[in-house]
Amino acid sequence: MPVTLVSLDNENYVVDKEVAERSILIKNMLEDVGETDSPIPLPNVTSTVLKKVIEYCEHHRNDPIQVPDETDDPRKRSNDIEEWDMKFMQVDQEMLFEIILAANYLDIKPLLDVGCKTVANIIKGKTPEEIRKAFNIVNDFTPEEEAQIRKENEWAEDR
Amino acid sequence: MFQKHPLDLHEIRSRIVGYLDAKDLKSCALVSRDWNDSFTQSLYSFVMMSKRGPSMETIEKNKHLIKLLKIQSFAYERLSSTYSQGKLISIIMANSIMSTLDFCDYPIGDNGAQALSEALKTNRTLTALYLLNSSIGPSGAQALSEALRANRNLITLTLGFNPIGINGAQALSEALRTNSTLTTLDLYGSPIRSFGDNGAQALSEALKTNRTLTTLNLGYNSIRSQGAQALSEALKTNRTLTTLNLCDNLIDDNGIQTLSEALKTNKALTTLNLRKNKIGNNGAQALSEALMVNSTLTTLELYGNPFGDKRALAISQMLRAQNAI
Repeated sequence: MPVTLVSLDNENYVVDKEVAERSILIKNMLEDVGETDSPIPLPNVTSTVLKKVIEYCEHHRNDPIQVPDETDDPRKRSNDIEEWDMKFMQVDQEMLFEIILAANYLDIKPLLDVGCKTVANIIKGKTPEEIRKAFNIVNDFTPEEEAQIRKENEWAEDR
Repeated sequence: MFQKHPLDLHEIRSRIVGYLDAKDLKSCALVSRDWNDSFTQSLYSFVMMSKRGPSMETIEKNKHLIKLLKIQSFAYERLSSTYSQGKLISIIMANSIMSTLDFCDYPIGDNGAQALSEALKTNRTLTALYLLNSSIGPSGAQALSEALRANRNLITLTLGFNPIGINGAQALSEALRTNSTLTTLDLYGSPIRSFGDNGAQALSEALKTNRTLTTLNLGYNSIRSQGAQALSEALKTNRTLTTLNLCDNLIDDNGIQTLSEALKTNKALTTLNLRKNKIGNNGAQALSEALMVNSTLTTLELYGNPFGDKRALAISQMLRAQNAI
């Protein structure tokens, strides 16, 4: 059965239920309401972003539901993004963050993970100044503070 | 643009942090004041002190962030010149959120153990304490035992490769009678001073009343039949111990016969390690007979014993049937 999703700017998208249910938020909503024809409003997501998110859910419609892996090792790998996902994430930075926000709001864990891995990969290997440039962040340290922190954390290398 | 940038959201940031290594976290901590707050936190949540690693001043400053601290023997050279073991421990234990403290081959000695013990009496956060090969003798073990009586949160204690001796084992067994939180105790022996049958006997007494310990390692402690007999008596009534490691001991057929008897009534033990003991054919026979009655044991390690292949086959078939149930 198809489900109608309505974006912030009132665009309607008709998708298969199994596609929509990649979002745990929508899945729970549908379970609460039961069988319904009424459209589901998603007031936090614009049509451009929703279109992208639906594209992701369509592609991953048959993926097994992800078991949350709270493994003992807190450090995870970010170099294991599938090729399709990698291409899917080749968007400008604003869209990347929009997708992350939408995935977070709609509760689509695998998409959120891919988004966060992509951001992590942007950060990796960069100097503080390069990170500031990449994300347009202003350095608000005094030179003394910066020197102090640099000295304190000097020990940290790859483990 | 965004009402709130995703990189400012805690849940997003903490996810990203999981993919970064220490070097990247260090760079992130230097980006801005705001980033410094969250990324410093991650950088210091797991700290390893080796040849490299933060200075003790930095440890002291960030003690509210460190959840897991591992100190290796390689750190000894640069730390021991400035800090006595006692001083080192008191700085570390002033930490308010640490859950795991791991001294690996770092000789904290009896003085360090004493300082640890004092801190443990009031500590409310540490759940795992690893003191592997840390030069702790009987008096250090006695001090730690004192702490175990008062402490209510330690779950894992590793004292392997320390010469704690009979007195140490006795003190620990006293503590185990009243302690009700410790589930794992590792007392793998030391070549210098194994506690032997007397130590095993003392610990057996504790096992009769203790209701929380699930894993006990008594490997490499020169335990012979007498010790095995005492342990067998305890196993007849103990209902919580699931893993018992007796590898690298001197238990022969007599000891195994009493152990086998105990296995006939014990309903808790799932793993028994008897690698490298002195089990001959009669012992192996007794074990396979016990397994016909026992239905809880799923793992039995017997590698390195002198009994013949036929016996081994019989036992492995029994165990396979066991695991299939």
